Amino acid sequence: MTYCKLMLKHTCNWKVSENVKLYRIVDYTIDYYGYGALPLPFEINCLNSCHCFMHIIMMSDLVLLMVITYLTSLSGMCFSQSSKVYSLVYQDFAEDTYDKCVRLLNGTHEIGCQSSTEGNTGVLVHLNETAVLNKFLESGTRKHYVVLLESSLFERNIMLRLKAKENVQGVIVYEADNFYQRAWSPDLSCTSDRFGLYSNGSYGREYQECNNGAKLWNPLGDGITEESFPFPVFYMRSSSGRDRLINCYKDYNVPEAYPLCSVQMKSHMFGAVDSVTCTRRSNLQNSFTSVGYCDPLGGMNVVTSLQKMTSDVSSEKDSIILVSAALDSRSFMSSFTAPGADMATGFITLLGVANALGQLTKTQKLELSKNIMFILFDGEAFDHMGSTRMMYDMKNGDFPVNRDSEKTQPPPVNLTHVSHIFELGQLGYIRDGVWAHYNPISSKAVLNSVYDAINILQNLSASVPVQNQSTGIGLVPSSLQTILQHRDVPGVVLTDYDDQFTNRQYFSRFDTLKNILSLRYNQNTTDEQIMDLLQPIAQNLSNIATAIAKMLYLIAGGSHTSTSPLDNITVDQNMMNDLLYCFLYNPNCDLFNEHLPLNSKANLSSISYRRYTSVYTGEVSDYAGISMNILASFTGEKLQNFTECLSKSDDQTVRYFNMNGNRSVAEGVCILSSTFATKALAFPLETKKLQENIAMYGVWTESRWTKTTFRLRLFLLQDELSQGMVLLAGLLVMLTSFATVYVLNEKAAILFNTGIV
Amino acid sequence: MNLEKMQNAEKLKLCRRYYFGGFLALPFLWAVNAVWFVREAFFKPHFEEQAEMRKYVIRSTIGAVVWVAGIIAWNVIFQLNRASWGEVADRISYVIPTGIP
Repeated sequence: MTYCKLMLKHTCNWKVSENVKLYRIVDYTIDYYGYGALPLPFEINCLNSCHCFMHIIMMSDLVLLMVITYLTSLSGMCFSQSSKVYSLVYQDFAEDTYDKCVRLLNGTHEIGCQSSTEGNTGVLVHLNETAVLNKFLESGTRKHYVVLLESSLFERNIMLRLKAKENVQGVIVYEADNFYQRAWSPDLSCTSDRFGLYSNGSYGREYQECNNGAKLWNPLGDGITEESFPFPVFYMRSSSGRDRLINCYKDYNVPEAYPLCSVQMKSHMFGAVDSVTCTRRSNLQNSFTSVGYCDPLGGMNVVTSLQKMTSDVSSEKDSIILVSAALDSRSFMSSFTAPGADMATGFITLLGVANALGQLTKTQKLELSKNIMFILFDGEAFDHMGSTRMMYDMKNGDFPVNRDSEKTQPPPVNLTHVSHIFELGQLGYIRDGVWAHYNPISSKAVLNSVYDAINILQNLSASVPVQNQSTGIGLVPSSLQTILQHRDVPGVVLTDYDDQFTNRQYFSRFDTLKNILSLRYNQNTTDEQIMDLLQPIAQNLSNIATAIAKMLYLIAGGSHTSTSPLDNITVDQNMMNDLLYCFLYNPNCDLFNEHLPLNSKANLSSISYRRYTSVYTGEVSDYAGISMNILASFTGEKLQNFTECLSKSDDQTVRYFNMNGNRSVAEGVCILSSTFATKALAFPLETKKLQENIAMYGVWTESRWTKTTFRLRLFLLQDELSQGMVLLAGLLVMLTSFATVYVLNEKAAILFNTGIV
Repeated sequence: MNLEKMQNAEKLKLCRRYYFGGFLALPFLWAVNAVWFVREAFFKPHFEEQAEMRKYVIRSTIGAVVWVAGIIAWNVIFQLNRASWGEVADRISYVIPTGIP
């Protein structure tokens, strides 16, 4: 037996030759290299070299076919995205051109959106008017649709109707060119009521659920934020992307014939059911490759004490005044945009008050018989996680720092030490003054303290009149509602509204600074124009902040004599202007740069903060961090000696801040302040095990997703008949090739006959 | 192993080993036993050990069928009820699917 050489040494000839030799293909590859041969499990008899060659070609074809099939089946649809074939078929949208709706979970529900693992596909349909929408809802009969929805139609009723229509596989919302943000809020109309002061049992039953629907705080709210959609929802921000989608629809889908423009949307979320389930699943380490399913939401509260807190003095009863405001915000797509400009005016006013009181000298501060603590709560937008956690910590003696006997710590503070609480709510739309809100069913003594405080404030605030809330309504939704559930303390919430929000875009993506300034959301304005337009608001806020600061000074026991510093307590309007500009428009401003940690690498972006509390990391978030530095700088003590500008780990009564300052000195500025960062995290989520009866608290978690989870792409869909034909043709080719090879092999003797057998 | 070249006594020993081995929660052993020896036990001319071999083959078949039915039943029940069983189902799952209840 001779081996069939791969390099055709013998010419292929059809003529009859003298010798009929039988060749046997053994292992042609090894033979090619001359190492010898290994018997193959199958042996093919071939009559001459041509025949052998044919067999080799077919075998290698078969091997090649198997290899290709294996590879393509492995990669599936993922032939290289940079290959030309991919771009002939698909048109991708860059991830930063659209916002996505993700899934959040709380103790009992999941909210947000979910897609299938591979992505939801559907034929594109463009709905820009109610008439078109109604027609689609009645007559859209294809198997799958993806709806391109104009943003004026994006509201709860319409989205629920689309959800009920089972063949809608995804929604992309876009803004038309002449878009104007309408008065609408995605939040619930009776907002923040789930764990409120009147939500439990018989206390304040007449105020429950916003006076049983009669007095809605947020009447423009339809509650779409709390809905759960089984399909992805994207918000197309770029106008070029929007035009691509609209043109694709016009070109291919308006004439209702194949090929049709189709869209695939992917936003697969890992979490499901509720926080209890997904946390439990994340903690069960069943295999080495277990994925986590969700992460707790939360942040850190910022607490600053006006008087330095020393470890040797314990707090006395009624010796502390709390001044608080909420830092964070949310929207339907919180992960991508949560501007909350109106909410922000509250904590910006608090910073103004802190600045005014911080300018008292050290002796003046110590002369006050009551201490003043400024608290900025994070996580308030999600069932008041920040204030709830503070109450829990206070009860366990862990406020303002976790009890640790080995360290020098400030004395623990709880509600028995608190004499008054003042909270600053939404203050962006001050027209005729502000309203003071309180709990109308507090005890007599508490209400008397409340009325006294409001009286003092009214007398001090001439330019911004302060009015009592109307009768017949309960306390406004606020952190104070959480605090009052634990103890009846005199508390006042100051807002720019009486019985309904003046903010017409509460917790919406359109609740921006431009909205407060009555500018169009997408209008082009210069920085100088913004600064000018801010002046009236800054004036109102600085006026009310001055009045609040003076009131606090008096309530804290400050002297009222002619030599008292009372009249010198003022809040600088330009500083308020800067704060508004920096927090709500462009953080890359001088004020913020001065308050960054010395030589920090972090660069301030020019896009206003997304004040979503996001996943709990144990550190202050970016907006909370800069607020903390500003608060410490306003109320703390400026040190001249820089060698010691480092916080000591075992002295937790004070913190040192080394900030940039105005860069006149290379070492920056050193501030000493009793500032603390406390957890704003629902405490059931802190331990590994979630108890079953967590219905008392808001336990919010955010679902996890992978880096490649978001995808949006366009492609053309052929009709089913064409697709079937292509498949059939392929099958036929395959079967024909099998048949041909079989026939050739059977008749090989005749075909490759070299002579008389 | 080439059954052609084995003695009948050896075949019986093998069949018996597979039969007893299957009791160690090895239904596949029973299935193999049944398939492998069915021709020997039923479709060959009679030899001495055939009666016993038939016994083993039949019992192996029955055992394999019962196991398959049980596994299919458990699989169906689990797939249908995993979501509603909550914590118990999560504890006995090796891979919990993402994004669905």
